[in-house]
Parts: sequence; C-alpha cells; structure tokens
Amino acid sequence: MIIAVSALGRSEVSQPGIAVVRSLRRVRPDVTIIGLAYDSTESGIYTGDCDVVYLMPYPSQGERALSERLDDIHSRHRLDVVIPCLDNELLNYIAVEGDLQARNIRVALPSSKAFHRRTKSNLYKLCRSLGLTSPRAFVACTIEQAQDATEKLGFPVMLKGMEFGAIKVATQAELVSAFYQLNALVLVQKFVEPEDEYCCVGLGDGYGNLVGSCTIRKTTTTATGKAFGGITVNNPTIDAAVGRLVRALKWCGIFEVEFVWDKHDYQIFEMNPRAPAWLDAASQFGVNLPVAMVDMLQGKKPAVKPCEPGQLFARHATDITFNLADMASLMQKGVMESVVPPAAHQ
Amino acid sequence: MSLTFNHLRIVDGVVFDTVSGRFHRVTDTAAFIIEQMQRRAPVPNIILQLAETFAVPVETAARDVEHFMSGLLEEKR
Repeated sequence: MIIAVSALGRSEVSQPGIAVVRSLRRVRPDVTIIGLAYDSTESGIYTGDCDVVYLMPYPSQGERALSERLDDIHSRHRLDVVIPCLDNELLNYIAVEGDLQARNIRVALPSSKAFHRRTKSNLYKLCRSLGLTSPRAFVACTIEQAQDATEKLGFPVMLKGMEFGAIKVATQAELVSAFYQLNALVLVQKFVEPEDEYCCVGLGDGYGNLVGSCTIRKTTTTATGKAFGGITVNNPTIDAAVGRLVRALKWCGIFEVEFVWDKHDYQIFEMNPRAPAWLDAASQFGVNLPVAMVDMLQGKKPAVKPCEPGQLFARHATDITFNLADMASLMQKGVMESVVPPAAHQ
Repeated sequence: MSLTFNHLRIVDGVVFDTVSGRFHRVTDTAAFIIEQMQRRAPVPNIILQLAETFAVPVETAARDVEHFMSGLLEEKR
C-alpha cells in the first residue's frame, strides 16, 4: 500500500504528518510512505520516516496546482491513499476530492460545509445550536468592529488570528496594538480563565458516527498553548460533546477538539479539521486512528478500543542531522528518493 | 450527590482522577479512606476502621474523614 502524507515539520511548531506516518508503520511496517513537503527545511523529511519526499506547490497556488502535482506523483507511485494534515491545504483537497476518487486515490475529508461550520468564526454559533458551550466571539475586520465587540464582551478578551496567533487583551490600547499585530482580521473572543485544558482526537466516518477517540488533559504546553505533554482521561462530558459535533457535522476524517475547564463548564475552544501533532501518543495508547482511517477507506469496519485513562506522554525534542546533498536534491528536483535515516550518516 | 468515587485510582501513593486528569500525592490515611469509599463502606465504618488501622482516636478519625470527603466532593466534576 502506498500512502502520501503531508505536514512533515517537527520543529518548534510541530506538525502532525510524522505522527501519522509512525502510527501507520507501527501496525503496517511494509507501507510505502510518500512525504509531501512544502519546504525543504521540514525536519521530518530527513528522519527516515518517509520512503520518498516530494515538494508540493504552496496551498495559496490553488487546487489546480495541487491536482497537477498529485497527478505527477500518482503517475510514478500509484497512490492508494492521501492523508493531508494541514488546515490551510484542506480546502484545496476538498475541491479536488472528486478528481482523486476518479484516479482511485482514497482520502477522508469533511464536506466543505462541515469544514466551514467549525471554523473559529462559526464555532460559537455551531456549539450554541447543539447545546454546547463555547466562548462568545465576534469577527472584526476593522478596529471599530473590534472595539464594538469588547463593549459587548467586556475586557479581558482574546484576539485570535483566523489561522493562528492569539493575544490576551485587557485595555483599549492593547486592543489596537494586538489588532494590527494579527493582520487586522481577527476573532474577538470572551476570555475564559482556564483551570485545565483538554484535547480530544477522534475519527469520524462521514455518516455521523465516531469511530474512535482519545482525550488528554494537557500537563505541559508550549508558549503558544499547544500540548507538549498530557495524560489520558475518561471524561463523559467531553465524549458526549465530541459525539454531538461529529453527528451534527457528519465529520469524515481525523479531527481534534480543544476544551477548557473554567470551574463551571467544559468550553469548546477550537475544532481542528485534521490530526494533532500528539496523534502518535494516542496510537501508542492503543487508539490508532490513522490505521482505522485507512481501514475505513478500504471499506473495512475499523474497530478502535476505548482509551484507557491514566496514560502519560511527553514530547521529547531531539536533534537530527542530514546531508546537504539530500536537501539540494529536494530543492533542485522537487523530489528526494531513498531517504537516508540520520543514523546511517555516521 | 452520589458518594461513589470510582473515578479515582490510587497508584503507589498518587491518586488520579480519571475524569479531570488531575493527580496528587496522598497520605496513607487518604488512600485508605478512598479505598474504603470505593468499596462503598458506610462512613461510620470508615471512621472506625481508620481509627483502628492508624491507632488514632475515633474523634480524630471522624474529623479527618469529614474534612477529606468534603474536599473530594468539591473537586468532583
């Protein structure tokens, strides 16, 4: 089986692609992995996890560029499955899903409608319609709209960029500064003091069913609040909320929902439309969602056991080394074959 | 509110809340009380058992049990 996976960076901002690859290899060691990279500096290109790596056109180049590049790769490798793992590439993949199916390349994607209903700007409305709690939020395109939002919400608020970045704001002066820092299109969200933070990774089958999930309480976070360590929990409130989201959206594919416990409620902060970087921890806990997803795409009925609470993980950052020649090949030819594991360099 | 505490697990002197994901070190007496509660022992029995096992006056055991249980109830989600 030949599977292409994107999002190979495991640097300061960790991407989920290598976690997907390791989850797959844990159960299917003979799988051929085609890495799809946007930049020759993505660290996972050089770890030996992928058999071949291709450079891809940036998502901003649009769906046609993506389709043509995948055609080119498919003509060489006969791809069975593609697993896109970045938020900003998913709409292009959704647009070319029909083309991929016509080429017999399987991919698990949410519908365009489901993708948009869970965006930061629509999440409050979605949660409210389902009887779930999420901090109230307003989209602001101008500083005046941002100021109006703070009048409704009261300080402090969180200013969030539409794709990334979040700044806590307590005064009008801070609001102006943060607004322009986040490129002047922001979400103004009611600030919630977190006592505990949780993430749930799950797999939806596209018919409203949750195939499997694993929830952690974050025990360590990065400067930007991403999970860097965690412990699995068995939380019926979170499970019920996730089940309701999946049912309402008929979500297809792997996703992550982030919760904050504020001493009263589990507030839903984000629903990410792809796997999180800590996905491989869930796989090691026995909840291997990439394998379940591939089984699902092959028409099998995947069986995922419930996650046992009390299992811990910590991300262990380490240094890898690689050859300039490998990087040069990728930069010049757009492809790097026979990826050499770092240990072989010694 | 139910007085069952089956969401708590004790592992080598650490109590883990399987719902909240929080964990704390606990004393032997605290671990003893949790284990008794998980066996659904009546509170008067827990007090007597605690007094006998740890050789403390019944009044002291009663105060400890009451204090510990109210703390657990406050944290229960």
